[in-house]
Amino acid sequence: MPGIHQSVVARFLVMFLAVFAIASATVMELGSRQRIADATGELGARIGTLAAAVAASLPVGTQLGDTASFRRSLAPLVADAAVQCVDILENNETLAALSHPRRLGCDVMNPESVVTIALPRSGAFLLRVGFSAAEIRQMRIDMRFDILAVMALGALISAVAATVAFRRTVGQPVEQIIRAISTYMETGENTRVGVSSHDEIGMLAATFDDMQTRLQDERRKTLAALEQVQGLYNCTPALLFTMDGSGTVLTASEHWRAETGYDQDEAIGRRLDTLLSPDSRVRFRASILADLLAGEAVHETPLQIWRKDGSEIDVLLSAVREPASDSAADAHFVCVMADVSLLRSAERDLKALAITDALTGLPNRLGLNQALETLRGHGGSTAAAAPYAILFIDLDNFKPINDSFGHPVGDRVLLECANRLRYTAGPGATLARIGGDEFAVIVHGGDHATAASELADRIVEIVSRPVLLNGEAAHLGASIGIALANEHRTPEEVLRLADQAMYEAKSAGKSRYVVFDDGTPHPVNARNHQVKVINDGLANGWFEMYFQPIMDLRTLRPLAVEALLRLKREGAGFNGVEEIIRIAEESGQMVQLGRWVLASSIALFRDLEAQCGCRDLSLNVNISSQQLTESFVHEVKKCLRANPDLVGRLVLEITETAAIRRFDVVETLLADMRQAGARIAIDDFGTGYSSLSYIARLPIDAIKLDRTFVAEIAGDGSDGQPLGKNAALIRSMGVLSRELGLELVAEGLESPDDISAMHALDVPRGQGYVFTPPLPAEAAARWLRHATGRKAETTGKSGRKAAGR
Amino acid sequence: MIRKTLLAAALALATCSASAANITLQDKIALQATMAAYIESHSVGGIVPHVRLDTGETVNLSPAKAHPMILQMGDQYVLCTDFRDPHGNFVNIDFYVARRGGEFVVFQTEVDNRGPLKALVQDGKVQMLD
Repeated sequence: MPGIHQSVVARFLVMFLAVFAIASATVMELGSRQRIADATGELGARIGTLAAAVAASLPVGTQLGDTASFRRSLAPLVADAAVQCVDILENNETLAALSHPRRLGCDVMNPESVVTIALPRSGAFLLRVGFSAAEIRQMRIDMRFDILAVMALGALISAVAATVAFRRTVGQPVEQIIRAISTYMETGENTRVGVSSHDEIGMLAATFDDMQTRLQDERRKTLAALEQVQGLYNCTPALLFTMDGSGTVLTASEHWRAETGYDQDEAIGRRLDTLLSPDSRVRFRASILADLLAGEAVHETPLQIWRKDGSEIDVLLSAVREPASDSAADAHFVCVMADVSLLRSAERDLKALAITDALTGLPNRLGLNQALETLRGHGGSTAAAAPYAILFIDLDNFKPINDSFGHPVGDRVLLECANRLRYTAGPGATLARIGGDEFAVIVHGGDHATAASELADRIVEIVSRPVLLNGEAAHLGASIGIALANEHRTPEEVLRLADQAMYEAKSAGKSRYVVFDDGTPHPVNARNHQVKVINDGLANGWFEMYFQPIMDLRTLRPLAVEALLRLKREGAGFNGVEEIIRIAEESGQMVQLGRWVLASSIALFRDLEAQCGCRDLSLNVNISSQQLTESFVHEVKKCLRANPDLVGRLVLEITETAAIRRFDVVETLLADMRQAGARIAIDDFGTGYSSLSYIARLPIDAIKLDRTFVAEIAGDGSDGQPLGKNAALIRSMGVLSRELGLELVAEGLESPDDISAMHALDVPRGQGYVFTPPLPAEAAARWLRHATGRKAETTGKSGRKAAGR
Repeated sequence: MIRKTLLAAALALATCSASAANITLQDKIALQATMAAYIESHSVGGIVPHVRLDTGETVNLSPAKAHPMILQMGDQYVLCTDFRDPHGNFVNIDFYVARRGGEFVVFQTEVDNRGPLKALVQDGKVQMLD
């Protein structure tokens, strides 16, 4: 039972009764007061009127002594119940008195209850009346009882009626609403009140019913959404789960369970860290859980989680605190783990690939750097590193093989060399391929200096063994630089020093090793110096072009001039023009240098033509294989457009090795240049590895026989004809060139005998010191001016063969 | 709420109990006796003759009922008695009474002239005694 303060009916009754009592008491009090007043007034009027009447009726004078008469006159007055006594006074003395039997007389009465009236026509006589207001008091008492009785009965009847009415109109609908709310709270069922009145309670009930309907709809939608979310949670192909602040798994999606292999009972209630690898466990406890409890989100933190079958998954864990969580103590966290196992595996593969040479399977330069890093020691200091030595190996003679036979053959050679190095170095050393034909070996532990030297010896020996290529033996070598690590050298520095020592070995004649020590006067700085000289030479005009004529061997008249590069710098450190070209090619300066050669040659040739007055000469310019690009073709075309009279007179010389490398591309580029008006000559023919079929297919105009053919022609035969294999080859080349429509030029003619021999071998053109060495442009112009006016003068055999390019 | 209601009721009762002037029952009896004695002294054979000055007609009025109601106007009191004329019509006479020593005297009467007195009551210059 609810208390008075908890029951609407009880509170209503208390209020009602209080108001009723107050109102009715007030009304009745006012009414009774009026009645009392009226009664008092009537009493006063009654006694006053009666007393006046008695006074008027009293005999005055002689009868005053007749007490009996007085008493009879006063009797009507005393008969009134309110009159207590009455007497006649004469000069304040009582003449006659009549009183209520219980009274003793007016003298003993309260003076306020006595009224004195003068008798008319007799000023000495007074009528004194004593009265009582007892009837008024009794009336008041009676009225109080009546009031209380009426109030009690009225209150009872009103309370019952009001209670019934209140319960019907308010109490019962409210109880229905309360019951509906209780039902909803207990069962979630949405019940309706169904009150049909149109008053405020009816409006309240109708509003409640509307609210119930809306709640039911909302609940239905919420359940549907929840079901959908649950479905998404389980169907999402992600490792979803929730956990509490201790890392205990609270829920796990079906996908999570399927991926990990744990069923519902095994996963729920289990601490996540018991499923993690040791490293991940530490990270989870120290970092992830701490961050989450501190209110921070966790983003893609890598972890390794164990499946039920013992295998490991690489995952990225992201987690946030559930918004509904109020405090860290009862916090729940929504977590998702992305399975990145495949990605990690691919990363490992890529990492391995990144540090591995695809051809040989050896570590590449990056792999070598990593190996060197491990040597640096855990403390990162060079002093802490284990003692070691680095062998920097560069294959000798590999480039010509690669250029001549192409990359597939070159790759086979590299693979063969790598296998030999691997075999020779053994499992205790770290072998890496760090460049095209460059290898490095790290020898560490023990007497590493001695071990490195011995290993270098063995490598030089084993690499020098011939490599069989299509049944033919190719000979390579190994130039090796050795540098020893010490506490002052970083691994990178040791490798660089080994590289320097390797160049020293190259310079010393190849197929050998050089151990770098601090006494070595920076051997490899020579190469750096050479690179710098080329750069500076291009910038400061240290290069110049010389010109050597190409002669008609029958008429001994100049037909063309070949532009040849010279360096006007003493002590530059180059061993001939070939080394300039090689260094420029290796250092990536060849394109720039070749562009300068072409432009400078044409410009000087124009001066030369003007000075000698010979406008029908051709200009031969040497080009490197690195220049054979679309860009160079455009450059040539541009030059020919600028100098249209050079069309058909500009001859570009390319070595046969450069021509057959990238044959298809070179063939197209050469054809383009021919189409534009340039002519093509194969330079130094006979020194490379090209076959005749290449010559037939190349779009060329001339062949220049290498000087070695001319130099090795044997002495005269009995009939004065040249003898020997070279003579036969030259003769054959003459026939071949005529058949192919190619011009044939003999290089390196140094004596009149050479001219005679070439003449005898039917070689129509030639050049060499027999006519003139390469000359600066002005001198060449003078020479040509003379030459065009007379036959060639013989200069005698000079013996200088290093004309250079 | 209940306490407030009860407090309001108590105040209402107190206000009601203090709303009207009062005189003692002794004075009421004396005033009524004074009025009755005055009527008695001015009656002839129980009849109070009254001359209507506007018509010169004398009307004999016989007392019918003394009103218990007493009005107070300053130190004076007003009492009323209904009379009947010979035709049975009520004629009220108001008696203006003043205190003289230990007794009261009627010093003025107004016959069938209630209008001015009502105006004084409405103006609050005359109060009804309980």
